[in-house]
This record gives sequence, C-alpha cells and structure tokens, in this order.
Amino acid sequence: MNPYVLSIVLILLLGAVIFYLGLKNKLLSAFSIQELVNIALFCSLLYVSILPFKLGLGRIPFINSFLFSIPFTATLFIGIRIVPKLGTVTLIIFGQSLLSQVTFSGVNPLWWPYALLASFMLEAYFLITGNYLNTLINAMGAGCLRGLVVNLYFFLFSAPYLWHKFYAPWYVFVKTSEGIIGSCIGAVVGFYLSKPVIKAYLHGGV
Amino acid sequence: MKYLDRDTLFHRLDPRTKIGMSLACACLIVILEKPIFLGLLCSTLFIFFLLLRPSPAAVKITLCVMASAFTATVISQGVFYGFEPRTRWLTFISENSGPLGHLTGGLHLYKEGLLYGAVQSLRLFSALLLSTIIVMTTYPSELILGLKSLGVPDKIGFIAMVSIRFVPSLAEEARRILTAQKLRGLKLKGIRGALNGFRYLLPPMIIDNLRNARRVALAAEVRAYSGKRVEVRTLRFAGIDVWVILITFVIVTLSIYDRFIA
Repeated sequence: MNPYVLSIVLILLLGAVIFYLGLKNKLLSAFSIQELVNIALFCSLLYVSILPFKLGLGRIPFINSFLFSIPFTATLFIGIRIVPKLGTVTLIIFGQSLLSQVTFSGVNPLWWPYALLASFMLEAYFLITGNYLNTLINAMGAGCLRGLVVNLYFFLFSAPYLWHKFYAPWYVFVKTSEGIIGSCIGAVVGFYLSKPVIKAYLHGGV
Repeated sequence: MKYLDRDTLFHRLDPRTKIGMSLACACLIVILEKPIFLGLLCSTLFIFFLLLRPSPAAVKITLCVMASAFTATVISQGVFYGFEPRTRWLTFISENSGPLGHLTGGLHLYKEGLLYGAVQSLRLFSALLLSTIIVMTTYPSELILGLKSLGVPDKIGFIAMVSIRFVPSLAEEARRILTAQKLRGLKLKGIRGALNGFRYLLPPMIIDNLRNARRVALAAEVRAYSGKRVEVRTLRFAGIDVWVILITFVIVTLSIYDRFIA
C-alpha cells in the first residue's frame, strides 16, 4: 500500500480511537451554540492571522515555517483555552481549513489529512495529560508536539508520496526544528495573551 | 481569487459536481506519473481557467503564483534530487568546505533534478488551477451547501458559515484597534514593532469579537436553532452534471488502469 494512503488510514484510525475513548470516559459532550460560535470566531481569527503568509510572506525561503507557526499556534491556543473541551481542536483546525478552502483556495481534499493529523495529535495530547493548556509547561509541550507532527508529516509523507518532492535529511531537520521552535514560541505567546481574554470572558461581562 | 460573475459551463455546474471533480483531481495528482499525462491534466485545467474569461489581473496573479511555485520546486529538487544517475551542474558548498560542507554532505545543483522539479511542479499547477476555477465559479455558501449535502455534519457547516461572517468584521476591527493603539504611541516598525502590534492587537480584538459572538449565539438560540438548518435553496443535478461526473469517473478509472494494471 502507498505510504501516503496508509498514513490517511492511520490518521482516521487515530481519530476514531480518540473519540471512542472520549465517548467511553464521558469526556465528549455536546457543544452549546455559544461554544460553536466561539469556535467559528477562532476559525476566522486563524484564517486572518495566516493571511499574510498566503499573500506572499510564506514564500520567504528557509524561515517561513518558523514565522508561520507563531501567530497560528498563539491564536489556536487562545481558542482552546476559551473552549477547553474534547473536539475543540478538531473543530477549530478543520473549520479554519474548510473556511480557507471555501473562500480562498478551493475545496481540496489533499489538505484534509494534514489538518486532521494536527488536530488529532493535540486531542490525544490533551486526553493523555488531562490538561487543556492550564500550565505553561503543558502549553509548550503541546506547541512542540504540533510543530513536530505537522512538519514531519509534510516532509516524510506529503512531500515524497503526494507531491513527489524530496528533501535532504539535514533540510528536514532544520525545517522541523524551526517549526517546533516557532510553535513553542507561539504557545508561550498564546498562553500569556489568553489570560486577559479569559478574565474578560469569565468576569468582564463579555 | 474571488467569485467571478459570469455565465459559463462551470458556473452552471452543481457544487457537488465541483467537489467530486476536486476529489478526482486529488486522486489524479497522486496516481499520474508520466510527464505527458501530468502535462495533459495541467493544460486542460489551464484551458478551463481561460474559458472563464478571467480579468487580466486574475491571469497575472495566477501566473505569478505558478511561476513562484515552479521556481521553488525546480530549485529545491535541483538541489535535493536523490536518484542516480545525476550530473552536477553547480556547486554551492563543497563536501570538504568545513563544518557546513560536512553537515550537509555538500550542496550541488543537479541537471536531472531541475528537469524532475519542472515535471513535478505540474502537480502543484493542477491543484492550484482547479482550486482557482472552483473559487471563481462558486459562492462559498453554495460550496458549504454542497459539502453538507455530501455528508459533512450540520455543526461543521454552521461553524464554516458563521466564520465566513466574522472575516470582514475582523479585518475592520483590526484596523480600528491598530489605529487606536498607534494614537496611544504604538510603533509598528521592525520585528519588535510587529511583535508589539500582535500583543496589543489580539486580546482587545478577541474580547470585542467574543461579545459579538455572544450576540450571534443569542440570536440563534432565540430562533430555537438546534444545529439543523432549513435550506432556502436546494441543490439539483442537471444533465451536464451527470456527463461531467461520468467523464471524470472514466478518466480516473483509466488512470488507475494505466498505473496499476497495464
């Protein structure tokens, strides 16, 4: 079986296991309309925060994945802290991907496994740690994991088997490290910026 | 790229047909290996794109994006090409030139790699062109309606619809907050300025929009919205949709046959 197809099967299996475990342990509850609208807001915020990268900034060679990861992770993590539930990450990342495809780049299923893997890995991380970014260490761990998984998936599966592009191991290492550092910085930024937002949300009459 | 108000064949197609074509194109990008077939797929999509009669600006943007994707792919594959035989054309870093040379194993530009990159960039062009055609011929709301009728859950459809509504207000809000912060002395120049801009923009923008989100949620709740919408517009397949689906199916089947069976 083509490794790319195998990776899609494994991603779907991972998602099924996570949501089965969530259902079994009564961690999966229905989202209220308010939570769904908040998630939609964060989908738009993610879309807007990465728009400069779609419009040219992403073409900056070598440091594009570092630059891209900071605003993306920061905004995503604020969203997760506002709606700390199983399923939030999947809805935000997949919703943002869908929004971006519907309004900008056209529906392209080739990008779906990428979005699903990023969300399922974070869902699994939160399920295992039982902590939705409540501490800085947890946020940094989640940031590093996101950076590692999305970059490795791109360079080890999408690039060679989908786009038939090859990269030297040192280049994959540099780009993945950049992604991890960028996501980690984004996680720290998101963690600190989320504090005033959560205070306003809980106590400020928002 | 944005919606183009024209009356072409692609505009008349059902959104589900376009999603099906997108899926088929995704399969073809993975399956096709021979340069001639990749070239055929790419040139067919380019002809379809021109049939939409896009504005010169839209053609220019598309060509610019294609040129930058082509350059990036050709250069990266020229450098990272790993198959044999390969002919060195240029040497950027020699294997013996210190720690960088040792670490990278030498950085050379290979002639065969440049050709390989040029062929592989046809995959990127195909994905890009079909995406552009879909965005230029379909309203976002119709695409979401199409996705929902193909089985995407109502709640994801709801999230996508509401997030489309938020995008223009977010841009307006960001401009307003940044102007207010600049009046208070915020300087946006340089990397430090950009970081400060992000720091002073994001929290007020999110808080303000969470207030808007509460209003939207309240409006939905008082109308007894439960996640299921009654659609005003219903989608219907026309004869042309059936033909397009049939032709797409035949092309994908022939490609699978050529790659795996023949």
